Amino acid sequence: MLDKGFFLYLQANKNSKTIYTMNIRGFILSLSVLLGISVGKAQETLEPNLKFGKPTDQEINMTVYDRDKDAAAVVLYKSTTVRYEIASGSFRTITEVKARVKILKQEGTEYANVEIPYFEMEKASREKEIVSNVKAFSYNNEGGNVVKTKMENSSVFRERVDNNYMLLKFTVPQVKIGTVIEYQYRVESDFYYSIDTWYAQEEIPVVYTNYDLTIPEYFNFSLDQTGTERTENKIDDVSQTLSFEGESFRCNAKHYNMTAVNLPGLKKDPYVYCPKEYLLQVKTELRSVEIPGVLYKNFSTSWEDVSEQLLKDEDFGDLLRRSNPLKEETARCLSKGLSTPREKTAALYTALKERLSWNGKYSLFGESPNKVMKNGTGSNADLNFILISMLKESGLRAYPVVLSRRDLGRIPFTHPSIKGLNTFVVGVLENDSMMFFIDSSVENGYLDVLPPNLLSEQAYVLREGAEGIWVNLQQTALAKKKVIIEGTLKPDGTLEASCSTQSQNQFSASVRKDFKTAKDSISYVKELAEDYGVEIISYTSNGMSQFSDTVDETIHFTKHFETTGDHIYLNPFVIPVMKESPFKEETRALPVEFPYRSSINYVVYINTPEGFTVEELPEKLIISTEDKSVVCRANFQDTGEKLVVTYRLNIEKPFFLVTEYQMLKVIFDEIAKLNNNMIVLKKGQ
Amino acid sequence: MNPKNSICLNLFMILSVLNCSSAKAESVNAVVLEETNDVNVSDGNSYTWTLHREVMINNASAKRHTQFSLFMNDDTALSKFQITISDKNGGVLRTIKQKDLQRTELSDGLASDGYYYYVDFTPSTYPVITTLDMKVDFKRNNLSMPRFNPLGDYNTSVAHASYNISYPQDAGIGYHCLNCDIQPIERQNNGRTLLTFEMSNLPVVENSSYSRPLSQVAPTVYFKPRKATYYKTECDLNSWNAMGKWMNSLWEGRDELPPEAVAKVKMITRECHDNDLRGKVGLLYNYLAQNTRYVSIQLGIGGYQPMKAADVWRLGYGDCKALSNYMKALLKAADIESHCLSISTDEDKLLSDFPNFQQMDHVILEVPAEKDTIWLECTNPQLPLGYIPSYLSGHEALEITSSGGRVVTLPEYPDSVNRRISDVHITLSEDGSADLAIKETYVNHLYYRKSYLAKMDDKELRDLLLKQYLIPQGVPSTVEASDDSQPFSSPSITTLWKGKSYSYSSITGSRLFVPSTPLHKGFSPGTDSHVSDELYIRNGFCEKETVVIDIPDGYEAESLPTPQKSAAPFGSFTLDVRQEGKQVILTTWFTFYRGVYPDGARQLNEMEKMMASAFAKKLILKRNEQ
Repeated sequence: MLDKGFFLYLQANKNSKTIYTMNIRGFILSLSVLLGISVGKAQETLEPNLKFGKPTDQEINMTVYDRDKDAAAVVLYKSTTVRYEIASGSFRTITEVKARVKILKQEGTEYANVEIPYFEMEKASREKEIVSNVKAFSYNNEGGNVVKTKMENSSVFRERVDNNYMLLKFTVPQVKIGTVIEYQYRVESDFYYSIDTWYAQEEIPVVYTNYDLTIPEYFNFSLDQTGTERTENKIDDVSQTLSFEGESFRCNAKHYNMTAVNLPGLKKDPYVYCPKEYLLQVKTELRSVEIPGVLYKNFSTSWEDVSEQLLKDEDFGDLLRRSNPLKEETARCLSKGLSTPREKTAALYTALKERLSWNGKYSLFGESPNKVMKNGTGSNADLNFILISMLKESGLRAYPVVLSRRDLGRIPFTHPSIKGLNTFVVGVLENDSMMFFIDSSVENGYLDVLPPNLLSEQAYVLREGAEGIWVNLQQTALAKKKVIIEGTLKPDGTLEASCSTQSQNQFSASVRKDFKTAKDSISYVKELAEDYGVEIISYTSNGMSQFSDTVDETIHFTKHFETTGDHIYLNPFVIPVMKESPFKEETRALPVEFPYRSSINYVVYINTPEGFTVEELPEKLIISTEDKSVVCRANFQDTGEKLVVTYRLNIEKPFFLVTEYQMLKVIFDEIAKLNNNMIVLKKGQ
Repeated sequence: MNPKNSICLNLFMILSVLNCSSAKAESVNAVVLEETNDVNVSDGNSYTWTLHREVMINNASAKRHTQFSLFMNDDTALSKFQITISDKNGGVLRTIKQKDLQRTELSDGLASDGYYYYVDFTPSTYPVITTLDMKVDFKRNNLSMPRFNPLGDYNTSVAHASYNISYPQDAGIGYHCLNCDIQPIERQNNGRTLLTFEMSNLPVVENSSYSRPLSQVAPTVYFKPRKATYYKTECDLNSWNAMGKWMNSLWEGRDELPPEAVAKVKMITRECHDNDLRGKVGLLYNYLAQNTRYVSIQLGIGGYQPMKAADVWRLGYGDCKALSNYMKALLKAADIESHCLSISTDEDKLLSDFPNFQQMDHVILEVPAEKDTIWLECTNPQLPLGYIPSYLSGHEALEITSSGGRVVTLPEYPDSVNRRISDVHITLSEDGSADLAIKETYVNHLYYRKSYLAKMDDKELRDLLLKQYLIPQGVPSTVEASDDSQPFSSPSITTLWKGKSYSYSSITGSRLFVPSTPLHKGFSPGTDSHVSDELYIRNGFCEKETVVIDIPDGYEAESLPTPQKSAAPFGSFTLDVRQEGKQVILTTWFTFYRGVYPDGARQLNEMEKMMASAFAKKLILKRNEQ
């Protein structure tokens, strides 16, 4: 079932395409609801009913799904059949979908609204998709009788989404809590070389789902199954009859049949970039086409093949060879006497962004530099191609580094394919072995400080005439924050202090982003004061609007601490380090993905008022994960005149398995607890 | 651009820089340099609208001015379109032509017969000047006309704008000025009337979370034909009564139900006494809730005419008009009279002397009764019967009957009915852990804001409350949300969280530092750089919180939060703290009254600061020295 995410998905994918000219089609299933875990044991097993058109009494009368009592709806049965035929002298695929869904809650009635996007250009085109045979029924128990209601044809609507896409919408009649709905449709597609990913799992539980795929011997597809749940598979060789220009002939075919039962609904968890990639699914990729005596074509089987295809593509490789449209700007940058590749790249990037703006979209393929120059704006790829030409003209060695954005899932490393890629960043060699990275979508960051969504663990550097290189963008510049607070505590509990914060790399980008998001600088400082719980007297910053890797901020502030007669109660974390643990959920179903690796260093020096001594000091803390990928240390020291508090938190790994969640939760709970610690000062000895 | 205007504009800008701090200058995101609307009416039903709009965009916050979108349908056509983007010296950076527009029919609902033209552009530097020129032909079936509303957004100023409307003298065009008082210049020429409206030097309206929405302050002029032809029907917009009459003509006869539906209604209500109006309405409203759902369908005349009741009976869904009309039909089958109402979900008042269709966006149902008329929101029949949600209570509405339209007013609840009562019991342990029981009851409009809690999954609710409350290392034992609403009484929902916090207090040596309340986590006063003078409170309410903290054996209070009290014309905040034996009891009252308070925003901001510091206070407990 689809939702509004679909539109955005299309937007994001408009510029991607395959060697076959397009993969801009595709059904998507989007996740929007939260995780429902199966609670308790099934008291009564619900037997899958494979007879479409005949819901059982048990299905019609059930009021709750025992494996997930919170489920708003359940897919009782779903079958997806894909087969080939020949029409108008060309192959095409026929996909038939049949589904039976039980509605269990009011919110579940939305599953009676179905949307099917399909490819049909506004202007007549050779390749298109046709959705037909749309039927839907509802079944309700009314006073002991099962009443079946058929959807009228007038309830099926088609809307043109854009030049390429249509959306078919229908809603099933007579749907209420308790209704069983059934619907089916058929999609005929001229895109025989591309088979949609099959998602077995959905955001609601699935009792039974089946995928039946028959591929004639002429096509060699690879199938790649991912997800934590499993299917039961049957693969056999069958014989298939095809008809071509009125004559039937037989050929061999590969027949795949996959079944999964009792799949839990998989909803979104925080700290996951692409929840959809954890659904049980089967991706299908064309390897070769062989029609004896007519055609043989081998498609990408290695990343080097992918690289070669991209470098030949008119909307990719050709754009790498176009001349630099910003010659004047390039020359001006070079005349400044910059020496290192980093300095040159920074200057060229700034010059590029003064002329061209990023339109907020990511893509793999680009438009001609002339068109981009005329529009003054473009996708990251459009601008990156121009940047590469500027860099090359300046004598630098710059390469496209192709990847998959984290929110679109990981690259299919073992199944090389252009389809698995959706954008690229620019890699520049610093010397013979070191490379740094930049992307035109960078607005708050710097060299090596890309938007976290691009920090893919596997990215591939494309080099003409040489083998590609795999790089891990997570290993680029560690995010660093250094906080130094120095102040004097007065006998009335008032602390007068300064705080200087140096934010580097990703932290500098995030400070700049906060600054830009605030309505203006006054709002920003007010928000800072609220967040820190202090009164800010003065604020200065350095590097806030520069293209650099560092932002320095200094504030002078006062903060009042609780006092009673002869005691002062001082929170040593004068400015909070972590107000609460980000991990509140008791359990979770998906792994934890941090945006980037980070290191925080925090030191507080406080001069204690004369005549006061420390009565009580918090205990020091050292806590870490077993593999030391997360380490936190805090120490509290009384030197006589000064209190010295040190705190350090390092997160050196961005990915944690779901099985490591409880360990992470314990560590972050301890860190959050630390923040509430108190130092007690007492008058006299 | 007219040179005179350009001088005015420069002067205006210099002054604003001189007079205001730099922070204020940076909040002018865009300046509408010149806007010209030319509306040329051939008759009440067809006209052309030519718009010329020059905007200087100062920064990326003026996003609204870089996104163009226009709703179209079969009755309209775009006959001219161009956007030119130039730098501040007039050098053209880019031109967007009609062929560059994107078109989509994608709609939120099931079906709509309109479509959108849209285009976005991202300037690479600021400022830029965008010049939009377009002409839209409204060919037929038009009940409304473009508004004159050049401000359009917060943090935008307008140098000069005009609206010229020309129409045959007998065409009868009406206008109404809202939040302004403009005298148009009137000219007569060749049997046509030309009216010119002008606005200049409109100041920026800053977006403040305290003040009234832009729609209540932005100068706006509405226009309308006095008579219009709509899908071959004649609509008279001269009075609310005439407008209602026309609407009634579209609705009439659409509330017939098939015999089996009538029989069903009789069956449902068979046990009710003849005079039991509330009982019958309740049963049928409940039937509506269980058997229909909302699906938006906007096709042709269906924008104003509901689907037939018989169709809703057959399909089980419809939009707000269809569901209200269906409920009307169900009531009719039970011999109960009811009327549909056209209403706004945003504004509470209808313009009494300017009836038009731009003021309403929703339809509900009214069941008249001698005492206590019943108001039914048929689009959300899950609502407790008799409760009028906050987006409708106190609003004026157009009642549609065979005798025409009549403006009626829905009842408004006194502020004191909108309540929250929170009871918290905290039992502290020496090791820093605590057992907590938090019970909160939300009544009436506060219920409406929280009613979704009762529909949440168990895990969703557990996760949500853990996030909402200050319960460090919280492990719940009982988490519940129950909707206790009864028909015809103030609806309420109660949430309960019981469980343990493993680090509620922090320990240093012999002391426990105890947060004084787990409620109001992360409360912070508004941080707008611009705190407006005006305070607008749309719905008043009162809240009472009681937090009881049990001190563990062997400990005594070294320091307790101090009592607070703050009162202002718009409301008050009081915190009372007392100790009774081994218990500390903190009681907090909040009272806020609806209204617009000319100097209230700053006072509220001060009050919020006081609250924030009170909520952050800790109890300090010390172990007794043995």
